[in-house]
Amino acid sequence: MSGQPDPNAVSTAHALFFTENRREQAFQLLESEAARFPDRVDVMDFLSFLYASDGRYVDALRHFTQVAGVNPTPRCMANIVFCRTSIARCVLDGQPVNGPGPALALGPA
Amino acid sequence: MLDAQESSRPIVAADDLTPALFEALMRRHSCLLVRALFGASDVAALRGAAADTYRVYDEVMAKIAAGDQPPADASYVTADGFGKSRGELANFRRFGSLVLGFCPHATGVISTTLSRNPIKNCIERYLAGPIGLSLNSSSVRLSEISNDVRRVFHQDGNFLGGADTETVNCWIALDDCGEDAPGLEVFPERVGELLPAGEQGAVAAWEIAEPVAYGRMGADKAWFPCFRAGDAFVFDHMHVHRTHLTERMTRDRFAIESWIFPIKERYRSEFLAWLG
Repeated sequence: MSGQPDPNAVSTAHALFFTENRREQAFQLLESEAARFPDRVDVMDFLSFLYASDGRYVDALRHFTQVAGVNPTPRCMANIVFCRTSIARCVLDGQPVNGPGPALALGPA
Repeated sequence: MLDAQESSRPIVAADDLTPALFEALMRRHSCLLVRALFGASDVAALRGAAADTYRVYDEVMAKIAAGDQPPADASYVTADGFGKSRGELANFRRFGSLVLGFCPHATGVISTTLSRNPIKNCIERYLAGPIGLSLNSSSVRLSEISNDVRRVFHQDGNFLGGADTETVNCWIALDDCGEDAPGLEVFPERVGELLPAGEQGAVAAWEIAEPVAYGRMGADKAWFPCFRAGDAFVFDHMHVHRTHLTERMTRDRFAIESWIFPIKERYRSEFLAWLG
């Protein structure tokens, strides 16, 4: 673990992704923060949400599952179901299961 | 220790389960009982999700009956379950089923648990491709000894698309059952056809009359397994079975019924959740 946690990581990533359309930077910021502080459920949860919003359902599922291991909230469980049904639908439709896909499939976090 | 009759039955310990053994038993018996397939922590999570789902459902339905509005929180039961599909779900509830498509939290717990269990690879190999949990056909089961709904023999193929459907049900006992709590009455023998159903006196179109079931399968071949919480009974859509309930039983029982299909266009309407 290095340095201090960035308390604004989620809000900054939110702005990067949704307002400035700098999606890759949003992912980089959150992935870096999650790697440095793996117990930050808020970062992991929002990262999962962004993956799902980007159609990266396999990545989203992996991270939501990780979040559920620490904090199995009903919302997190519902997000897992969303990812699993989305992946099945992508398989049936012949679409990639790990994006890039339709944005904002989940709605606001 | 198994007795002579038990030893001839398709029973396997979870540690001995392999895809090849799974396939061999399914092809021969159309079913198998896997002892201790799910460990204590999995059982606790699954049973907690099942009990919470029923508790929330029953509490909300009681409030709705008293004139209250349905809650905004749809984590345990979807808005549809209390809204436009209220009658449909209430009918399932009467039969001791809450369909997973209406139960997001339980579905999350069940799909996560199944995806991590060795049974997933067995079923994936058996069905030859990526698999999904059906949210239309799977359910959280509560068998209540006070419920007077008649338990009838059936083959699920009657409402899962017919004899050529490709599917497997991983039925998971969440309570010890079969002796003092409702279990299953099954026939560990492959049946190649759908037996006549819905004949005179039947409650439902898929009901197989007792004389028909015993006549075809042999009354002496009926098997009433005793399950421990965490045991799984895996069977296909041709398997003849019913809930086993006797007057001497004293406890209710939770179980999970998870119908798993290959992810194919034919099964799109099952609303599948990938088990990867």
